[in-house]
Amino acid sequence: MNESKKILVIEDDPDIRTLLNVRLKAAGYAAVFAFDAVTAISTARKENPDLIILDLGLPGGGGYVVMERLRALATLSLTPIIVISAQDAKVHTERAGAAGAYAFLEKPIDSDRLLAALAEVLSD
Amino acid sequence: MQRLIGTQSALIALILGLCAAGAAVFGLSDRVDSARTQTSLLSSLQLDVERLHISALKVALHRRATSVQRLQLRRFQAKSDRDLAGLRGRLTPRDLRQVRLDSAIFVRTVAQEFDAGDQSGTVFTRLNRHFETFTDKLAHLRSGADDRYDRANHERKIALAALIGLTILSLAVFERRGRVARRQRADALRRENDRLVELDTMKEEFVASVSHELRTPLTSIRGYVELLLDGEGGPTSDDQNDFLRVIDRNTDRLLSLINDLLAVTRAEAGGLVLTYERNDLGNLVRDAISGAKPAAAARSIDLRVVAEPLPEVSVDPTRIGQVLDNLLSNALKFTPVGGTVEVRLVALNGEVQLEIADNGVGIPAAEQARLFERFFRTAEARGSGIQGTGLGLAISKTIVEAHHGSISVASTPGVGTTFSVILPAAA
Repeated sequence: MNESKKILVIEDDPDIRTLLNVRLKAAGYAAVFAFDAVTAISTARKENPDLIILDLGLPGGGGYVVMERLRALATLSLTPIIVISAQDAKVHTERAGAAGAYAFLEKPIDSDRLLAALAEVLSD
Repeated sequence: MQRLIGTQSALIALILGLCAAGAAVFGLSDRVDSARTQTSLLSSLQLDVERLHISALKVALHRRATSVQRLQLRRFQAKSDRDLAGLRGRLTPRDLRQVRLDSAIFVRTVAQEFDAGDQSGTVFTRLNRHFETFTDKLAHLRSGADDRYDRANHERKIALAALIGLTILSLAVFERRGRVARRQRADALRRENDRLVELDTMKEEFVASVSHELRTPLTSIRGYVELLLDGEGGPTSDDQNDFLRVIDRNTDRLLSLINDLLAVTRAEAGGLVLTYERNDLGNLVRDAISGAKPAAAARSIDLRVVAEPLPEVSVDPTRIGQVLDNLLSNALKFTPVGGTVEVRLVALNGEVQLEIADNGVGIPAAEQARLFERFFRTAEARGSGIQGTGLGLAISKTIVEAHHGSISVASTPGVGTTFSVILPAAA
């Protein structure tokens, strides 16, 4: 049933990209990837994903800048975003929420929580 | 160094000046005192001499004096006694010699005149005149002595004024030096404080950045271990799964160390922001206990609560929950299988006391004092392989104290340990 759902993972760490690829595919999602702020926008426009998993620490501009640009695009302004980061959860949970993220997940990511969050957003 | 020498020389000069002024005052005082002693001694001598001469005169007069003359003589004597008493002044030995000579000449003259059968009225007129001259002379001599006394006294006053001036000056110099030193110390303290605040900020930033850098690789380690355990990498043997769980457990350990480190650094940098809510501590304790139940059950530990109705407390529930979790987790870790952990809640006067008592291994007295230090772990904790970062109690103490409360421990090795937290009741 998840076959049709496409998730864009914007993450600069290749190991974590691979990890998420395995997890998402196993859960039945289609995953596409971007590794910096610039490719994030072009990939998002091209792929038009159902959901975006966004890392905050990205080369070429922080995750918040990417969020702002995505929100400015008509086709992606409503695409749910789940922020993942190794940065201080106490600071960023609130900030990410204020910037329009659906959820903030602290790294190391609890894969059960991630999949639960994905299911919750995408079932709507 | 040069400035130091400069201030030292100034100091020495000042001390020498003070000594000189002091000596001058004492010297002059001596001079004044000795002048006073000398003159009073001389004046009493002079009076004795005068009496001697007047007695001689009296004898001389008595020989041929009439009753009127004797009366006149008595009056003269009374007057001379009064005047001489008023003249108790200050005379030098030379003055005294002069007085004695004059008197001797006078007595001889009067005696000769008596022998020559002179008119007694003339004798008395001369006697009076002589005495007036004599008292004038004494008054003049006394005023000279007074002048000397006044001069010495004046000099003493000047020296005293100089001493006082110098003392005030030196006090002012010391005070100024003290003020400068105090200001320098205050400046140094301020600079030191600024530097420490800066260091604290740097430390916090450093720990935040290190924690970020450590979490990223841990994300991969844990993620891939979980993939393997979930069979995403193909089937694994039971041994392989056990090994993978060891990796996973140690990843947890590293992660909690990072979290604790971040928490303690932030708390120390004053970044512990508390969101106060009025709350029944009993509710928070029940939440913490329900979280700890599985761990207690796993080791057959009897975990129970004894609570009396409590006044509300004003606390940050997340932070106090962290303290409760910490204390409960410690109590469970150090209590043997089948033991007891009892949580007691007691209302004190304006305060609420929470006790978490176990009948575990206990903590030696020497180690109790260090329990709340960062990274301190008891020999028992290290030796028995019980996991922990040594930061939990340090964090708990910081949190409790931020709530204006206190935390303490009482323990007897082999009997058990009781941690007490006292929090002020809500106003």
